[in-house]
This record gives sequence, structure tokens and C-alpha cells, in this order.
Amino acid sequence: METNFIQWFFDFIMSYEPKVIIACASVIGAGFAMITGIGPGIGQGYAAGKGAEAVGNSPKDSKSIISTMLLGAAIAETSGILALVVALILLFGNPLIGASGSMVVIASSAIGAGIAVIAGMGPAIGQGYAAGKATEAVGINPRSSKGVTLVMLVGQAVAQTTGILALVISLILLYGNPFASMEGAFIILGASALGAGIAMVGGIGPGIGQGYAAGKAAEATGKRPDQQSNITKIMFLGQAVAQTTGIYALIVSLILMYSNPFL
Amino acid sequence: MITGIELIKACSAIGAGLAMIAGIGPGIGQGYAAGKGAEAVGRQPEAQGDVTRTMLLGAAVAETTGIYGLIVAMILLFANPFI
Repeated sequence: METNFIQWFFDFIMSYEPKVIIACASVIGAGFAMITGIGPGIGQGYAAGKGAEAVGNSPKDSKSIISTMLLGAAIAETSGILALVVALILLFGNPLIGASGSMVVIASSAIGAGIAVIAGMGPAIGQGYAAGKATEAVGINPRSSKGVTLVMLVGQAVAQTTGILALVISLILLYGNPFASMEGAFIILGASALGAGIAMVGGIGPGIGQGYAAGKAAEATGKRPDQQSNITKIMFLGQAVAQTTGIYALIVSLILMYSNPFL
Repeated sequence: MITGIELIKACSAIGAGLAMIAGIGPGIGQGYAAGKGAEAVGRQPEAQGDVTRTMLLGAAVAETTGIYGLIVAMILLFANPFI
């Protein structure tokens, strides 16, 4: 019987030492992880643009404008740093090298871990927008700086949720891999690890959306500081709704990892 | 030897993961609605009830494609027509 491509491919993969294949998968995973860097770049660029605009409009308030901008931009950096951490783990402190279990499963987990943190792109974009809007608001109404900054920070914290969830899945695949000890066909286990990582990419959306909500709330607070509590309430309600698809992604990811129907 | 059924299951696992990428859209859209809701309440506090209702109604509609994605993922996992 002639060997089909799928069988040939896996025979080819398994003709190498496990360490080699896992290393190959890890460098691919590290590369995927850094795609997240798109997010902070966009978000922080927006914040910088708004900062420059605000300083141009109100030079005498440049100190508080710049401090709001830098504070917001620092938070937007979070996802980029987390992705960098995952990439560096895969390269220098890789817990999967030497892990027990099928090499295909371990290799797929490394790639899945890298793909999962791409979700962090969303929170970073959203948080950058929030930073920009807060900066603008402080420029327009310097006296509202305290309230605006608070709303911005709280909103940004919520927007980070899907980035954190993605990081958790990534770290589970790296350090507490449930597939390594499972019984079942290696191709199903490996694909499930990949699927679990890919599912988390959906978290880009809630991050962007929630960050936008945070930005608008900060802007509104700048205009009407007396309405801060009402504004914040609506922001939270809307952000909770925006979170739902991030939760769906997490559910599918967890099903694939812990309650897999294919095994 | 990789059997056909095993390959189908493997591809279904990846398909279920890919389906969840749909969550990008509702997240962005509903977040936009939340932002505009916050803006509206800031501007017209006494209309808060109406603003909230309208925001949630619109967000519910925006949710539909996210749910579609979830449904397809669940079908692939638990009611797979090819297995």
C-alpha cells in the first residue's frame, strides 16, 4: 500500500530525535507569540498622537498631559511584555524539552502556546486608545485629571482580561500540559493542543472593544466629572457584555484540554 | 498508522479552535457600543435607563455571530456529523 502524505509527514517527523522536533516547534511558537507586538505599537502610537495634539493645544498643561499619556501607554505595553516572556521561555527556559509523552503532542503544545498569546494584541490596541482619550481629556479639562486617570486605569484593567486568559492557557500548555499524560491517538492530542491555543486568538476582539469603552468613559468623565459614577457603571456593564466571546473562547479551549470528547 | 477517523477528529479539534476566532468581532463591536453608552450617559445623565436599554439591545444583536462561532465549535466537538 502506498503511504499517503499525512502518514509520510508524521513518519518523517518521528524519524528525528524528540528534542529536535520540539526545538523546531518552539522556535515557531516563539515567532507566533511576537505577533502580539502589533498591538502595543498601534495602541501606543495612538496615545502618542493624542498626547502631541493635546500638548499643542494646551502647552501650559504639558506636564499632566504627558504623565497621563505615559501611564496609559505603559499599561498598553503589558501584552507585549507577556508575549515576550512566553517567547523567551520557549527559547531559553523551555519546560517542554525533556517532557514525557509523544513528541508530536509536545511540539503541538509549544506552537499552541505561542499562538494563544497573540490574543494580547487586542487589549494593547484598546488600552492604547484609552490612554489617548484620557490624555486628550486631561488636556481639555486639567482639573478632571484625577477622575479621568482613574476611569482610564480601571477600564484598561478590564480590557486586559482576555490577554490574561490567553497567557494562562499558554502557560498551562507549557508547564501543566494535560495532553502529555492523556491516552489517545497522538494526532488527536496534538491537534487539540493546537486548537486550544488557536481558540484564544478570539480574545483580540474583547480587548479592543473594552479598551474603546474605557477611552470613551475617560473622555466623558473629562467633560462631566460629576457624572463619573454613572459613566463608570455603564462602562462596566458594556465591558461585561463585550467579554462574552472571550469567555466562549476560553470554554472551548478548556473543553479541548480537560474534557476532550474525541478521546 | 493514522486512521481516517483519527485524522477527522484531529482536524475537528483545530476547526473548533479556529471557529472561536469569530469572537474578535462581537468583542470589538460591543466594546464600541459600551464606549458610546458611557459617552451618552456623561452627556445626558437623566437618560441613563434608556441609554442602557438601547446599548444592551444593540449588543445582543452584535453577539449573534459570536454565538454562531460557539455553536459550530460545539457541533464539531460533540455532534460531529463526520464521526
